[in-house]
Amino acid sequence: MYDIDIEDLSVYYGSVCALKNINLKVKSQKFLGITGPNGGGKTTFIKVLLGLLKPTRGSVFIKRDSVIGYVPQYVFFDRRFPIDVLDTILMGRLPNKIRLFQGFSVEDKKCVQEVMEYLRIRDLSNRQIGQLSGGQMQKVLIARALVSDPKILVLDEPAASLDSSTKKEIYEMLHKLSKDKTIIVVSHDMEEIFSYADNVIFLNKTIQHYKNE
Amino acid sequence: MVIAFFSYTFIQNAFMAAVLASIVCGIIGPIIVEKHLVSMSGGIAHASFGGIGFGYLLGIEPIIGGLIFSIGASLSISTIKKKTNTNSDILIGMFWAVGMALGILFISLTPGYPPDMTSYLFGDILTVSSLYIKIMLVLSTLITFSIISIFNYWRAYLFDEEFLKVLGINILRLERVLFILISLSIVILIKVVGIILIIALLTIPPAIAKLFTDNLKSMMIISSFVGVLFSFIGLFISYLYNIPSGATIILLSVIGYFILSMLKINHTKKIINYFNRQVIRKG
Ligand SMILES: Nc1ncnc2c1ncn2[C@@H]1O[C@H](COP(=O)(O)OP(=O)(O)OP(=O)(O)O)[C@@H](O)[C@H]1O
Ligand SMILES: [Mg+2]
Repeated sequence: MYDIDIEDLSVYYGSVCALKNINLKVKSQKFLGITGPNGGGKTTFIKVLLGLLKPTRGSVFIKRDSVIGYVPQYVFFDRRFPIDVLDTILMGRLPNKIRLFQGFSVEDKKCVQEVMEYLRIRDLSNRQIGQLSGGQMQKVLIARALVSDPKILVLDEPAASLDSSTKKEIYEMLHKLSKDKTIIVVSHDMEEIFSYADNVIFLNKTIQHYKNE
Repeated sequence: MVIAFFSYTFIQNAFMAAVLASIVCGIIGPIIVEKHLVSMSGGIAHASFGGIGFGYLLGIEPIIGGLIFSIGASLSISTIKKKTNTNSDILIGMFWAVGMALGILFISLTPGYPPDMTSYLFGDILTVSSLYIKIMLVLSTLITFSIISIFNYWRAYLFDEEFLKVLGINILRLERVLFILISLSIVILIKVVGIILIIALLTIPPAIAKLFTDNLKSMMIISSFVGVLFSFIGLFISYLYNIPSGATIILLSVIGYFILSMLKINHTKKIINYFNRQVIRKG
C-alpha cells in the first residue's frame, strides 16, 4: 500500500541539522512534489531515500523489491566525459551482480530503443553527451532511469533552467508515468508542481506544509 | 646501424618495457584523467618512494616496498577522506611529502654505500632486466584484464558513481580495486620513467587521444598506440644523442600534443567515431 514509510527521520552533517523529525508515508503510484527554500534539505532528503546517505536518526522503509530510478541534477555532470547517449542510457540496464565479460543483451538494447522512442530522443543515440542541450541531456538522464523499469522514480530538479515548453513536456510525461509508478520530484517550479502532483510537501528542515489531493 | 641497435638485449628489453608501459598508461591514464585522480596519482607515486627506501633498509626488493606503500597510501587517502570529510587534496599533499621524507630517511639509515636513487626518481628504461620484463608482463596483463572484463561498470563508475550505488552496486569495492590497479600501474612505471615523470605518461597520451575520439574505449586504444609511438621514437633519439630516455619520451609527447592540438583534426574525429560505431560496438 505504502511504497515509502519514513519515521522520525533526522539528518545532521556534523553539527549542521539538515532534516529534523520527518514523518512521511508515500502511497504507490502517487506523484509527490517536494519544494522549499535553498538549503531546506530537499537534496538531503532524496539522498537518504536513495540510500546514498545514512540517516542520523529514524528509519526509512522502502517497499521490498521496489526498483528505484534516480535522475540527478544534470548540471552536476562533467559534460566532456567521453560517452555517448546510447551508452549512457544502457547504464540503467547494468545488473547489480557484477559478472565478468557481461555485455548487454538484445532485450536490453530493445528496451533502450523503446524508451528513447517514447522520449523522442532516438536520433540523438550516437551524440556525445557534451553535444546535447540542457533539455536533451535531462531526457537522456530520465531515459537512463526508466530503462531499469523502476517502481519508484526520484528526480532532483528535473526542469531547472529549461524553457517553459520543455518544462511542461517533462511534467506531463511524469504525470503520465505516475499511472504505474511512484514519482517523487524536487523542484522550485511551484506552478507545475501544484498542477501536476497529487501531494506537495514544503520542506525546510521539517515538513512545514502538506498539500493533499 | 639499426640492426646493431636492436641486437642488444638491453635495447630489446627497453622496447618491450616501453610497449608494456604504454599499454598500462593507455588503459589507466584515461581513467585517472576522467575521474580527476591526477593529483591522487602523484601522491601515490611519491608515497611509493618511502616504500622503496624501506625496501633498501630491509634488504628486500625495493619495488615490493614501493608497491606496499603506494597501495597503503591510496587506500588510506580514500578511507580517511570518508571518515573525516577532509579535503582529499590536503591528504594527498601530506602523503606525497611524508612518502618522500620517509624514503630519504630510510635510505640514510641503510648501512653501507647509499644506493643510487636517481633511477627511481627519473627512471632508466635502459637498465630494465629480463626478469623485470616478466614481472611487468604479468602485472600489465592483470591490469588489462581487470579493466576489460567489467568495462561497462568502470565506465559507469567514472561517469556517475551515485547512479551505480542506487542500482545496488558495491561502489566501495570498485573504488578499492581501482586504487590498487592505479598503484600497481604506478609501481610498474617507476622503473621505466621514474616517479617524477609518471604523471606525464599517464596524462599526455590520454590528452592526445581525446583530440581524436569521444569514446572511452577508443581513448584507451589510441592512448596505448600514442605511448608506443612516442616511446619508440624517444628511445631511438635518446640512444642516438646519448640523452636521458625518460625525459626525451615525455618531451616528445608534449611537443606532439601541442602540434596535434593546433592542427584541425575534427575530421579524423568523425571518422574514428564512425569506426567505433561500426566495429567496436558490434564486437
Ligand atoms: N555535504 C554537506 N556537508 C555539510 N552540510 C551540508 C552538506 N550538504 C548539505 N549541507 C547542509 O544541509 C542543509 C540542506 O542542504 P540540501 O542540499 O539538502 O538543501 P536543498 O533543499 O537541496 O537546497 P537547494 O534548493 O539549494 O538545492 C543546508 O543547510 C546545507 O548547508
Ligand atoms: Mg538541492
